[in-house]
Amino acid sequence: MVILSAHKISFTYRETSVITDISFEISSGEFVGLCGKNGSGKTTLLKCLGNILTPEGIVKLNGVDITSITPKIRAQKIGYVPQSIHGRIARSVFDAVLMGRLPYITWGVSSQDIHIVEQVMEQLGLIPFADRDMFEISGGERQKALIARAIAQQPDILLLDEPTANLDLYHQLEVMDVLTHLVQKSNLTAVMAVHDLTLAMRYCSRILLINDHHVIQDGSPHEILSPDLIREVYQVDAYISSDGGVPHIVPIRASIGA
Amino acid sequence: MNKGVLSIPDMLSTGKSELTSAYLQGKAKKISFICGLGVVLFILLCVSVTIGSAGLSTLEVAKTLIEGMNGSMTGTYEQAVVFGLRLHRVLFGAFSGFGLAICGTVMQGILRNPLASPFTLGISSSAAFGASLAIIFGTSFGVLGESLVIINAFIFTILATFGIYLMAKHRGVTAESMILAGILIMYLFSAMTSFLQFFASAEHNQEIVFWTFGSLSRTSWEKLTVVFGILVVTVPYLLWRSWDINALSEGDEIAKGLGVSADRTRIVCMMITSVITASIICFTGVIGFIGLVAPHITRMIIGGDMRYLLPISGLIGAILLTGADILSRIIIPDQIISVGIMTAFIGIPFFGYLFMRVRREYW
Repeated sequence: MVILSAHKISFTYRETSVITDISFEISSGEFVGLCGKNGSGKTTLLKCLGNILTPEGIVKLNGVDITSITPKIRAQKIGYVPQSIHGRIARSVFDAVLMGRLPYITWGVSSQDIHIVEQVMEQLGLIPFADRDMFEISGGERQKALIARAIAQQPDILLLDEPTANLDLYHQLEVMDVLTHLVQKSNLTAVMAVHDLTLAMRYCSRILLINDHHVIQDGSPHEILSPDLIREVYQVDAYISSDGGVPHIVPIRASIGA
Repeated sequence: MNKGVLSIPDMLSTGKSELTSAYLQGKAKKISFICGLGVVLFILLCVSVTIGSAGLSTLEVAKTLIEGMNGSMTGTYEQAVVFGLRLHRVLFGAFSGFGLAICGTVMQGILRNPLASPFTLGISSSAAFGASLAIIFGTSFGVLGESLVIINAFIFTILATFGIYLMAKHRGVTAESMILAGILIMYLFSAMTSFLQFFASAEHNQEIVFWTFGSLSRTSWEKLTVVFGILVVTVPYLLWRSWDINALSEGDEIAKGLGVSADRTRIVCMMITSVITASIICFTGVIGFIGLVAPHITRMIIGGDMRYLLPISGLIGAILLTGADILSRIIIPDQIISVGIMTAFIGIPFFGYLFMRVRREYW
């Protein structure tokens, strides 16, 4: 079942085209990785899908034009996890996750809201941090708190902007395992902008490779990621090893003459 | 369909957990803090009513108040002093402090800037310009004089907000563009006021300077009713939007992701705060300090959650202004210093103390 689709979407930022004429469909339960170089438009595309930026063209959520859905209803369907948060507003981890219930809150927080927050925090191992300030905890925990907030929105779709950027190896794997678990067990669809091709290969069911404002490849990671393609997009010579069945992209050098 | 990770019956069966009770405890603590501040404010208001040059004792004032509350207004000297002169002034001070502090809190939240306040964004200086204009050119209207000052101050405040909005709209209604536009407006109106003063007579200049000091001596029951009416309508709305302001304070993209239309919320809140500010300072003159400092004091004490920050900083603003009003009437015998001057004198030590003491990151 197609849950999210883009129809010829383009986005121009101050007369610079960022993405051009991109179309694709995402089915329920997919874990999609958006890959591409720095500045290729991954984050922009992700924001357009969540209507955080409004592109030309149409994005449809369950077959309905996303701009015709009220922001609150949209936020009940789509959770957006930014790369980081700005500002240094003092806020406990619990309160930060509780903000994920905002699309459902009219006046006050219900006991159901608190239960949901608690369950999500437990699932992500955030209970010990509940009282701590968002800026006292490590980058990994903060990232998990932001993911927890998006999950507390009880969305059908999660949009994640580089969820593993700035995380150490342990937290990278932990966050990705949590996400995979959610996608598999909870009927969630995830779209993730990601730099690390090895992580993308290992966890995503589908990869959209973006280059020069366009989607140039779309398919399962094993089908599309090849040394030639990596050279074309990233100008890097690399080989793909699969020790113990887990694929790794091993970069060798920047391509000569690139 | 199983949405997300949870099914509701599962969650409800778990009963009250540690986290839930911690949340409820925190909430109860903040609510009792609000009640405590309410009591402090009430005591200050009582003290404030008993102070004055009419020679009434505390007991007499209390008796008059109780009689008045019971509806037996007999037109005695005591009643004339307490109800005719003091009570509306005292209440006006409290409501003004409450309103200005809430405006500052909302502005700092929606603009994500610790320096945002009605004063720094040019709303006060535009009111001062409007008032100056009326003071200089309005005397020929005779009796209309005072009303003209009030109306003009109000109109120019609203005009300034529209100016900020139009300038910001041109570049996108971001926090940064609104702050820059606000600062431009502030300098513009300050310069225009100075320009007027340059040509005005000494008498007019004195009146303008006095107006910009901020004072509670021009209040009346009618004026109090106007301010009260505006607060009754707007403050519940702002409290209702406190979640959205919370989201905005983390950035526009986060707010949008949580279903808050960032630009619209920012504009609506800006307009509402400027109406509140305008309705207060058109009667009192410039009281700039409360809107900047009350939110900071509150944030240092309770953190950044707008749900509590708004009412608590409102109460702290009311307490500061009431305290300043009391001091302004007793510090020099038989002299009333402008309350705008006193707010800075009592607010700054309090703020400084917290600033040095509170070590945790609060902004």
